[in-house]
Amino acid sequence: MIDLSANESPYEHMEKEFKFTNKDLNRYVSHTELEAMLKELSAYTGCGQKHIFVGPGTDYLIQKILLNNFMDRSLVILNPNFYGFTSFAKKLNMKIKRIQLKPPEFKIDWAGMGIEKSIIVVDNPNNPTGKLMIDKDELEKLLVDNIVIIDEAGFEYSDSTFADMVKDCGNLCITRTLDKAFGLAGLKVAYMLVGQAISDKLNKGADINRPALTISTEAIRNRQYMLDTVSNTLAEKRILSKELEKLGFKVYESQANYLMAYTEVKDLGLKLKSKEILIGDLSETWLRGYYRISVGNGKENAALINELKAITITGTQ
Amino acid sequence: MVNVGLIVNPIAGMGGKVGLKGTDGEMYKRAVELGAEPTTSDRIVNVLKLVKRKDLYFISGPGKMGEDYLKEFDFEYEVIGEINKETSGEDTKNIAKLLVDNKVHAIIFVGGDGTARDVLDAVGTDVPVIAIPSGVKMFSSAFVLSANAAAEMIDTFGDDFLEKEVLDIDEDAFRGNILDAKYYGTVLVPNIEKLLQGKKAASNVKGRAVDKKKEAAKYIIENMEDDFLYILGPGTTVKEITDRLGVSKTLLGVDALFKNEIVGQDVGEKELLKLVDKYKMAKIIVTPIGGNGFIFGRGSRQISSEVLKKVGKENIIIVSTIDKVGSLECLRIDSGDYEVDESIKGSIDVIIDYKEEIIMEVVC
Repeated sequence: MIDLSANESPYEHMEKEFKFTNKDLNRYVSHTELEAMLKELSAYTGCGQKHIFVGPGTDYLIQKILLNNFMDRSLVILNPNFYGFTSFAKKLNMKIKRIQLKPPEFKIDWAGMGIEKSIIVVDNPNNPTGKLMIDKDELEKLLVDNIVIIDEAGFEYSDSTFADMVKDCGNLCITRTLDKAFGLAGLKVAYMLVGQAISDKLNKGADINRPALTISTEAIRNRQYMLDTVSNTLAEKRILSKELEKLGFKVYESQANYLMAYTEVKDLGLKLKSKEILIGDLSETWLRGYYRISVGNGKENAALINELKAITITGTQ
Repeated sequence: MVNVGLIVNPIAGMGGKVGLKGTDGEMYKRAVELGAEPTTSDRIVNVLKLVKRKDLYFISGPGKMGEDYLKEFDFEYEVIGEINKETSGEDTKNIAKLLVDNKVHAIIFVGGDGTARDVLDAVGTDVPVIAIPSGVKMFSSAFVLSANAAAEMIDTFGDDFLEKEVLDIDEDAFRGNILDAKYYGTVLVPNIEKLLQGKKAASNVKGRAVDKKKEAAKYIIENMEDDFLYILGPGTTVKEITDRLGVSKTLLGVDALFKNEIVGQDVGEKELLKLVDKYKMAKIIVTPIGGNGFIFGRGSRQISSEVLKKVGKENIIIVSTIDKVGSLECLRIDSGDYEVDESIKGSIDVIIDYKEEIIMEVVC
């Protein structure tokens, strides 16, 4: 099975890339180890250590923000989204407002929405469109009356960030993950950069386990895997995009490690699944004909294109 | 074994190629005179070829209404009922009823909107259906998109179902180039959304659509105001509100509610206007039509531009399930009055669950 459905990195790590051994498993995470990771993250993000929090996945971190700030606030999210924290927000009895993304621009008129007293979560670049959803001006205006969480899961691919605003904007939070460009989806480690007003309410602790923390710290220190992955993925993305267009797909420009594409071919997701290829099928949960394809490695992308050629030749039935 | 019913409408779709826009009623004979040939047999054969499941036991309509196609495969089956030489909607209904009596787990049918209506009449929401399109008119959202989707549903259906609409147009009007799709009710179809999801599912696929509809109704009721007349549009989503209140609403008509009591049942435009005048303050609760997203101007013409003018955009409450509204690019209005349409277009909140809304754009 070729899995191009979850935006993971398609590149394996080398056998002895990380130094973690079984012998280390009998001990809890030490304060020194956490400090070491925060130090690396601080150097990588340009944010002071006091602004940085680490946790097992973006959902966990966002839930932490919700738990400490939900009183009298609504939750604003985009539709579709792929988060798990909405059910958590429901348990907190928060009112939830989704904003439907729609073609052709998939843009949001933030000023026209009149959002206030909310916790707004914006993935930037957006999943599934791959587009940047908000600019600095819009963000500054939203921050006056809201807590804004910008999910920069795709930061390494987009090279676009609001991290420099964190030290001055108390209500801003930026989440990132090592799942994607660092190729550590199996460890599920995320971190966030948090403004003062939010960080004051949060406990600082080592919320992730020792293997995760040790390996993450090494990965952030030695970024060669990430740099190679990003440059390979961006190159593969350009090729994949062109190939898809040749096959008649409408491909949207993407700042992330996946491409959103539209096609008239019916039930493409099912047809590919029967050929042992998984892609993100947005047809049933969002708009018909839209698919999100993670950029795989050269071999995976070629296999996908081959199957697509066979499917599109038989027409749109 | 899993018992599934099979009904094939052998004449569905025959009118298409000879330009008749449907074979309801007497038009079938005209289609034959014009040289139309059956198309449904290919459809069902294509689906059955893709089915991998081995534990199916088919209970099928006789001859060309099902049996003839099953013969070509290794499936175990039995034949039920009798049919006329020239089949009609009555045959579809009779077989469908027999299938319900036989407690099948699902009914697979092949046909168009007319067939879907016949199945709906006989089955309602008692048994889920897998609707394979082979008609000229296929406006109903109940239909699957392709043979692959039908086969996937047959292979994997369990106990999670979605309500999908049965719509049909007036064929006589359609031949006169007037397109007016009417809502006839909902059937249950297997939810294959979850089966398609990879490791990370879209967040709206958690929880069952039926439960969310109930939660949305609960939320609306909690926020109802005593001084307002509530004009209730057609459909099961809106009916959920009156069901919860324990009062009776028509499924396909427009009804009016005041202080939790029905004060107008299946009312027309004039009566609505009178009611609005009488109660002074009114709110409208409607659900969009799946597939095209119309909130006004299709399906419930009683809520006319005059009614909308009196009620105002701020008093319109839209309710839907996320699986329906989330699949729409936008909502639509075509009240017949440009100014009214203009006053309603733009962002609007749609209630999709308890304390949960989605902001949609209304276009005209």
